[in-house]
Amino acid sequence: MRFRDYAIRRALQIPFTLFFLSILIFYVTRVMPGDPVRLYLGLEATEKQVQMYRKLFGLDKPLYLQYIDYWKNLFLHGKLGLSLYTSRDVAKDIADYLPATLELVITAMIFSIIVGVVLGVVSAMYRNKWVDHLLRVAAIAGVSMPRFWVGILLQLAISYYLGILPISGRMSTNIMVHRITGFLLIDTLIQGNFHAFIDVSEHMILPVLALSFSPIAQIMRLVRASLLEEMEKPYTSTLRALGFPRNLVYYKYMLRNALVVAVTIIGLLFGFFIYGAFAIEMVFGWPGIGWYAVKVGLAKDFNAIVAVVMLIGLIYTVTNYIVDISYAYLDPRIRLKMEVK
Amino acid sequence: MVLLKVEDLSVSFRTFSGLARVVENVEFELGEGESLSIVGESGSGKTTVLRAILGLLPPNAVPRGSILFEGRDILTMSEDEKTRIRGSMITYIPQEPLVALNPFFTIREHFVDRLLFGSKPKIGFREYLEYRKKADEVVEQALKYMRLTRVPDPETVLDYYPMQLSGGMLQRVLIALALVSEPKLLLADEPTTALDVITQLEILELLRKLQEDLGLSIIYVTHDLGVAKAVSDRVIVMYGGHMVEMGGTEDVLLNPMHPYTQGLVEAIPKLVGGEPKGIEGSLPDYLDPPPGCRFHPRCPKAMDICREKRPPGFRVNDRIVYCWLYGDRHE
Repeated sequence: MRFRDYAIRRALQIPFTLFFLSILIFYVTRVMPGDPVRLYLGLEATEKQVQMYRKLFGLDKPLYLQYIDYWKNLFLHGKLGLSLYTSRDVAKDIADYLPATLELVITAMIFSIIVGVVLGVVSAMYRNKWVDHLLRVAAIAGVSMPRFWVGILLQLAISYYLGILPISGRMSTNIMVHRITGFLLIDTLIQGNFHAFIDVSEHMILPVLALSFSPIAQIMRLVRASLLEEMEKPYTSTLRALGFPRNLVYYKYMLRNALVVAVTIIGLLFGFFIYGAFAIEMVFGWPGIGWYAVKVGLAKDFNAIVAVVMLIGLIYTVTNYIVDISYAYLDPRIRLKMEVK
Repeated sequence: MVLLKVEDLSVSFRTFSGLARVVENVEFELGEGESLSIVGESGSGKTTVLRAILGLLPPNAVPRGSILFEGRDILTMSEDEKTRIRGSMITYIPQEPLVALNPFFTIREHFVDRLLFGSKPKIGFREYLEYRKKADEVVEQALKYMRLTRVPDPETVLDYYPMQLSGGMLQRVLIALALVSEPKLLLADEPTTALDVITQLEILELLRKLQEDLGLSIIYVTHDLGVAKAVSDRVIVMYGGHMVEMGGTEDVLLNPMHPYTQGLVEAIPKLVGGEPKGIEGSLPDYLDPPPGCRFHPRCPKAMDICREKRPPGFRVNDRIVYCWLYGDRHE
């Protein structure tokens, strides 16, 4: 099997996974206790109105027909159904809310990979010295503290007492940004609005920090552990015995291997970030998909719930796919084995 | 001329259960172009001696004595000096060729880095990028040595990953990688143990030939008396971290004097004659080694003095034997 074949075959699994996920979540949202229509119309609604709206949402049809209609709607009209919470199509909502989350998550991810890898290397280089001990204690704190609590602490300390950074939101109310991509950092830059760019960046710092704290700790611990493992490997001692410069062995030969191991967790973290963003977005009033998910969940907004879950499922499966593929690509042992067979 | 002089080398290890006194009072000399085998069972301290010469003892090791290489003591050298010496004068072939190189890098990558940076203790990022431009120039040198160690089709092999080569082939590549710096002393840690018998013979023959052609000094560490016989002029037999006998290889194997060496030779399976005999018992506990001669609990000829006093090296003809059987017992 060639690497390309593997990549394609593995890619074909994604639609299947999503198909089963869609059946599951579709079913769950329809059998949830509580009547979304009555919740939507309120106490005063008459039976006639309830019936009318039930028909409007297609809830009067059998479940399998509802399911088929859902896909028809998506493929023929690009619609995900009406949201009970915002009273417009869910696809529009997602287009509005998703960029905010992606912007937050991608920034936090880049930040935590860089900081996590650097700290992991430092920790391994100075293993069992005070720097290492300090970092490891901090890492334990990092993985143990719930991130919403870290967020609140940061708000309290930095925004409330010190007053350095804005406490919540995505930008100040007096600033207007014309949306092009939905990524405000990029939009403000394209428009050359540096004042707005600074304002948006300031709003990002605390949520990014709160979101990255625990991933940094995880990446750091993993990089440290795999570097120490590489140190024990016979090739390390061969290279040292052959007089390879110490830092060349560390930063080229060992780090390369350690990072391949780290790629696995970094991929999984992306899904983890999205889910972590739920809490952070609530704490920081960040108008993202996590914030949206909490609101629609409380409103039993079944169309929106299906869409959000499917979206997160899609992100998870795709990142997992990328991890698998890059892992196979980065490790010549796996890649070559494929080519031999 | 004497290339390497090991004087009264002892290596202990700090462990959680106390100080393990592993290697004690090892002493020998190695001339230029000479080959020496250190023979002993697993755990007899032979690899520790080798790593001490390489200057690569683990951090919990406490070495004493001196290892003079061209008159300079390796034990007191700084890390940087040791790296420099390893990159040029003293080199090493590992025991397990299959795991001895980084699986993520090609053979070429290993050769180029060794040739460009082999004797630098540290390398900056900018310096690295600058030197790497010369990569194509040094490849010739790599190819030359791979031809010397008879790697077939070295141009192709250069772009292979270690896992694409067989053990024997990798060992040839590793020998080339070791020799590419034109060293004076080669340390081989069980160089053929992981290989099959035919490949083993080929590699040993190759090493023997390289030694003659390049004027190398080689120290082999092995548990295989046959290997020692095939490649080395002299042999040191070690037991429990002590030297027990040293002499010409043929001489020692044909006419072993120390009871331990005698036991070892008798344990070799022969084509004619019955079952080989083993030596009863096992290696001493290094945390609490037996007093006197470390072999006395297993020795069929043990005497009272063996339990009390360590035997010094007694010279018998061209041989040195660390056994009271050959000394003045009243000394």
